[in-house]
Amino acid sequence: MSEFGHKIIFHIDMDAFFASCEEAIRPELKNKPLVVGGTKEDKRSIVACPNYLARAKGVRTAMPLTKAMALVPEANFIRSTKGLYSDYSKKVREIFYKYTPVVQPMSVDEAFLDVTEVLHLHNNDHIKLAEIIKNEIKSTLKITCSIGIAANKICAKIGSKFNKPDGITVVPFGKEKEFLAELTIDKIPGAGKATQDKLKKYGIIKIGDILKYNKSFYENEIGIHTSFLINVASGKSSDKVSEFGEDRKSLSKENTFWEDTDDRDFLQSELYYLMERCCQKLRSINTKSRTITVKVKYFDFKVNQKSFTGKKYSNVETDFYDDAVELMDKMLVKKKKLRLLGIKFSELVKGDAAMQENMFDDVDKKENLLKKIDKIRKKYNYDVVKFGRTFKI
Amino acid sequence: MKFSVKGDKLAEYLSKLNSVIPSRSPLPILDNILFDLKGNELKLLASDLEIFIRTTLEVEGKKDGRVAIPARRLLDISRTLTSASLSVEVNDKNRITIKTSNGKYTIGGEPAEDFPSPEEKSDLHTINLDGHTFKRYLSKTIHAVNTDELRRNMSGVLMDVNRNELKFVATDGFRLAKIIKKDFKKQSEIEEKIIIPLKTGQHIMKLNNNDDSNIEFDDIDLKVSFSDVEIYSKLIDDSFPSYENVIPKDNDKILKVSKILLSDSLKRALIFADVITKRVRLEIKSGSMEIKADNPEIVSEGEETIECTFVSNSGSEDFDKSPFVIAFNASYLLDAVSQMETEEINISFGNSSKAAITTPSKQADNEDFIELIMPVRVG
Repeated sequence: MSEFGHKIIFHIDMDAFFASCEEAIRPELKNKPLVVGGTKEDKRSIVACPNYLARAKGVRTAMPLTKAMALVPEANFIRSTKGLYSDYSKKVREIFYKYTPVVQPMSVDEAFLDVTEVLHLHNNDHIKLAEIIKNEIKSTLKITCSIGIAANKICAKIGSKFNKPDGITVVPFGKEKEFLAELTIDKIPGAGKATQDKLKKYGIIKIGDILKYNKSFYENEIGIHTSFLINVASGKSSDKVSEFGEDRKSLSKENTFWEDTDDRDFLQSELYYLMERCCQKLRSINTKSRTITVKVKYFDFKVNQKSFTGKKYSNVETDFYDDAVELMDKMLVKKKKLRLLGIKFSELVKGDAAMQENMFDDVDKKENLLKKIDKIRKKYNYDVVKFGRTFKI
Repeated sequence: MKFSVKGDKLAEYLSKLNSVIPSRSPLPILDNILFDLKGNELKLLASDLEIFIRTTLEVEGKKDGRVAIPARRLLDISRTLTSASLSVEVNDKNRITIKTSNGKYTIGGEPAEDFPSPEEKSDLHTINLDGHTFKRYLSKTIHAVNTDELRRNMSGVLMDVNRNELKFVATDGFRLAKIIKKDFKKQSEIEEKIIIPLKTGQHIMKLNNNDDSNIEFDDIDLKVSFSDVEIYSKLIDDSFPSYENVIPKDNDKILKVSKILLSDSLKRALIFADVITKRVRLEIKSGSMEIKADNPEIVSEGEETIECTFVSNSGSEDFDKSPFVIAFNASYLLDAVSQMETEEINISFGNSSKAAITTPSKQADNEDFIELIMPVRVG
């Protein structure tokens, strides 16, 4: 514990990360609106990251590129540079580790740092330490970040969004509830539009409003699980920064097609490809799954999904493929082309636990073969080894 | 067509066919039972197109004829008129009239020609099995049949007719049940392997009351006749996996354990195990076996200890074996244990990733029965 009697957590969020990385290596892109996601020819792409000048004109992440083009026709539109962001992400992480060993990366552009035990090296001045980290990133990598400082993770995360870009926000220790009370509910990480809409119907606009009602009201009247929301509004959340991240609950991958399609052969290939990529990841973290969910998005943006739980855990794509095809087939509707296909693996277990051996099927042999293929693909690229099923794509 | 019959007799024979009548059929005619009367012999035929079942009963025939009668309604009415004598008459328009001493019921039937008929082949191989053997061998193996639709070659019971052995084998890849009749007398030159579909096997077991059976088959079709029943079925047109190689020959740890103690323990363990993997851990040492199950998702766990001993091949106690841990799907292990008919059973192990083999402590005369179970990884 710090001298404050609680932990000191930093949430460091890189500012417009992809766009900043691009500007760092191509300074000529600076001082003009920039949209990373695709060139003006890539009409079906979506915005991966706009810089702050583009954001000022209303461009947002995940917006269709065509809409962004209408908003800021003068912006530079570029495709994302392969490998650049993970490279920068690694460099940023190296800087974090210079200051504390307790780092929990949340994604390529954000991480929690627990600095409680190292604060005495900086005169117990958490703001000073945040500035040192921020300045080092800025001077060595030419990109900026925003830091939220709080006694727990959620407050730190909300804090990092509070003063963007290039800002530091301290959520006053012991006064978290008051700090959050006046913020609107869209600031709560993970509260999606559907939840927000439900809450707004009951006059819950600000985070403080959440405490007007109790848990049973939310569960019975609104039909949402609110332990999380009530804890946030009370300023409570976990302060455990785990180097290995939270336990992973699922792993998913999805793809939007260049054009809407109902070509079943193509969709099967795509499905196999998505499963290959997920299973490759499962194998790399020595994890197995037994539940698959296939998700489709139709041309009219309506979404449908179906799941299947098998009898055994596996991370071999062929073990799931036939069931996945069956799930997908159930959702293929005449005259409704798909624009997106996705797959999710859930009910994950670490290691070999609970694997049912099969006398006619050498599970290890298949898995070992795929692991070798994974290695080759990692060294060269995915396309050097292909199965017949993915030839079409 | 015209005949008289007692209500309970008709109900008994109709209900034999009930299970083959599809609950939802694309062919509405299959909702019917075909009645075919010649003299005093009434043949009833029902089918789901894969399997045809025919039963024959004695009635008081008055006029020969054939007609398809809606099965459900006929069965319902005959079940409520068990003690009555029914007089059944069918007119030219396939209308069926059932009369009792004080009632009259009419059902609309279908032309007999619309009802499909099984293919009658003349050049089939034939073997005769006493009813006890046929039913017993099916029931010892059928629980291990694969029920998922993907692996068709395992979705039935293999009947392997050999020079001087008859084998029944079933497997789903996770367990395998095999029973051999050693004193089987070859009845002709045939040496054949056929796969009897699961559903056909189930019908045979249900209808056969240890009656001697006449089994006729070629590569495609099977006809089984016993008592007053004939069952026609397609065989599974695929090759059964080569199972002999996967049966371990060198399982060196042989454990003797009480059947009832082990099966009761497994039943309790199942309550606490993960609902899908049903994994139980067995921690085995000479003298005792600890059976543990847990399901962290619902915070449940259970464990108990039962007595057991290591034995050598000759059956005497073997003190040299070191303790080990192995895990199984408790349902599979329980299925296997339940099939053993001796008070004590033997389970042999190699290591924790190799198949275990359960056998009765003493085999029945001229019989060799084993059940092999693949373990679940201990993790």
